[in-house]
Amino acid sequence: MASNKALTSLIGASSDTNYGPAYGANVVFPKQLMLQAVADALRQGRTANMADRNKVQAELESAMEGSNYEGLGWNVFDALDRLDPRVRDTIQNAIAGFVHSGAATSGDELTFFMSREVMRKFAPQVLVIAFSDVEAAHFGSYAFHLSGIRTADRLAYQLWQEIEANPDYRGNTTMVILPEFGRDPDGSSTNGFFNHRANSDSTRDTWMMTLGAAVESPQVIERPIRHIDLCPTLAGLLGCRPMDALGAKLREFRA
Amino acid sequence: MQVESKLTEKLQEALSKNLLKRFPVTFLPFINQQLHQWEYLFPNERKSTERLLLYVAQLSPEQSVSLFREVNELEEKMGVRHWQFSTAEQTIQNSSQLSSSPYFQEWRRSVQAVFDAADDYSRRMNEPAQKPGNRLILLDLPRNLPVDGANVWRRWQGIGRPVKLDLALSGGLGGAFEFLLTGKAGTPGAARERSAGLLDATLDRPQSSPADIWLVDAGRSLIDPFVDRQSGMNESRAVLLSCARLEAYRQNFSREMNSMRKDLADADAVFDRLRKVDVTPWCPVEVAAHPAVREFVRALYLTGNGAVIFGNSFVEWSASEAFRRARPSFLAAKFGVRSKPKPFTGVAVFENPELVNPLPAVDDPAGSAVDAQMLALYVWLAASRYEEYQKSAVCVCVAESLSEAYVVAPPEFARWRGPELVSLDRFGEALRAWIA
Repeated sequence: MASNKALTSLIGASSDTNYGPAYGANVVFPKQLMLQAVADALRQGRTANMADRNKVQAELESAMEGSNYEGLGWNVFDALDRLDPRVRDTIQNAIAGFVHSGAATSGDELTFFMSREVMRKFAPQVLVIAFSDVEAAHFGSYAFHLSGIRTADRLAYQLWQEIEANPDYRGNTTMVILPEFGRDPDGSSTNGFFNHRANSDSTRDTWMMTLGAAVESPQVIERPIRHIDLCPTLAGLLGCRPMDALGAKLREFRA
Repeated sequence: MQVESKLTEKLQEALSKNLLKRFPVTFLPFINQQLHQWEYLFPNERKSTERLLLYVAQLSPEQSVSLFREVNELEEKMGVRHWQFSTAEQTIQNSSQLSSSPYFQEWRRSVQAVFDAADDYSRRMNEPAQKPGNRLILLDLPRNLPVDGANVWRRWQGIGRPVKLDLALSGGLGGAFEFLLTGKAGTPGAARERSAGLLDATLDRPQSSPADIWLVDAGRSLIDPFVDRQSGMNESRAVLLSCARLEAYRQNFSREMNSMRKDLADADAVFDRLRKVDVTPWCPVEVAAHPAVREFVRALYLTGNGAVIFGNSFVEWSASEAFRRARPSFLAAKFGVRSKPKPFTGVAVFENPELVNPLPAVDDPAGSAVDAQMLALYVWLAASRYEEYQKSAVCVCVAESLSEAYVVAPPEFARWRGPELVSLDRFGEALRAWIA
């Protein structure tokens, strides 16, 4: 579940045919659905609908049903441009929850509703959720950046609540929370918090939090952890055979 | 060539003697682009390019081989000659190839060393003639941005000091920023007996040159009076940028950006279109009249950093780029209030929110204040990256709602201690004396 489609639609699978699309993940871009709905409404002279929650729901559903839904994701699911009925129901439920919950209406909120619905309907063994409201920093609003952090913090907690309440996940799930990167330092030539491309510790070093089945007891680990160690560690949790990877499994994780 | 005719005779002569052949390949995209865009460069950029070229021109062949030895060796190691490398202009492909090389950082240091050598040479030659003048940066957090007196200057980490401004002693005037700038307060341009403002003091400087004074505004109230009056300041001696007055320019850019499909090829095509499109019809008069400023705004929007989205980001990024490119002696910038994102449609950042959602816009003064406080600091940090501002610049950030200013200044600037109130007149006088 990726809020931000960024510049690629092929984030679910490798393009290598030996282990690529046939083994890839299902991908959904909820924020892209919102953008599509706005664009459709604008193009078809229905922008008045965007001020009415019931009509917003119809606009989002219409965008979902649109022939170019492929462009919104689900690239490696059974149907590329026609939604599997279970998928359609899942997304419709998520949209209804999002529109009528009375909660905030950012892209990350819809991503959360979609993720929770997917957990309830499909209970995938691996679920990767990328929130991106924080990326308002790129446009220079520190207030929106902080708001995005608070939203992601709250939604991560709500996801954990879902894990604890959902029998498919309760007791057998590990949740790992990773900020994608830091921000550039104040005063850098790359314009500080706006970006994340400076060659600096402020950009590279971040934290990680792990909850659930893989951790023994509450603890804080202060030693630096290399990001290349995460892939073999998380793959080990899923029982994958040892990987040909540069990193090593982290000893703090219980396999 | 038309552009060459605008180069100095000295430079034209040097170029006619195959000067560019002495340069390593990786210097050429920058130099050629600067020469081709000469009419769009600010005096500081022209001088910088000229310094480099004339420095190399006066070297003997052996000396220039020695100067470029390290860069040439690195180019050899990087395999530049096997690259698809444009020597005509700086391209994304050029940057990508350079930055992917393991020798990139080493190459950057070597290139910088060449520029440093040119600057040293120029300083040695011109030292007796030119003494750098003082500089001033004046920033405004207007009254409608609510800031908390207890922590408004926290992010400045003690690099300066707050000064309480006594507006009563200055005749109970409303706007400290405007008073300091123009010597009057109230409605901009309104008839009122006025004392000299910082603008007058800067314009009166004997060395004042084009692009030496910049006024940047998230809204339009700072710029409108100067454009309407067409008097009081020589247009060619000040760059006037108002985010609100650039609305048509901004909207046209946003529309194009929003049309981008999410792939790199399409992004390249859109940016290419925006680099070439004639922007003059979208420009307000004060921008349309000056090719360098017109192109400055285009580059500003193309480099992002929110300049096309939020007025306050426009102010910060304009000021940062002005320092980098034009090194103005005086820059005044006013932040403003943006709207809250509208429900459900806030994700479409490049769309006009008024068009995509009929709900009325709602101001976000609290959020705008958070943005502006951070961005005001960033304006100073951007300036302080350059030698010109490190020892001879005063930065004043006025928080109108607190009648307070934060002052970053070298030791020789007038200092006020403790909780003493400083009258606006006295404060303005000290700033005028500094910049005069």
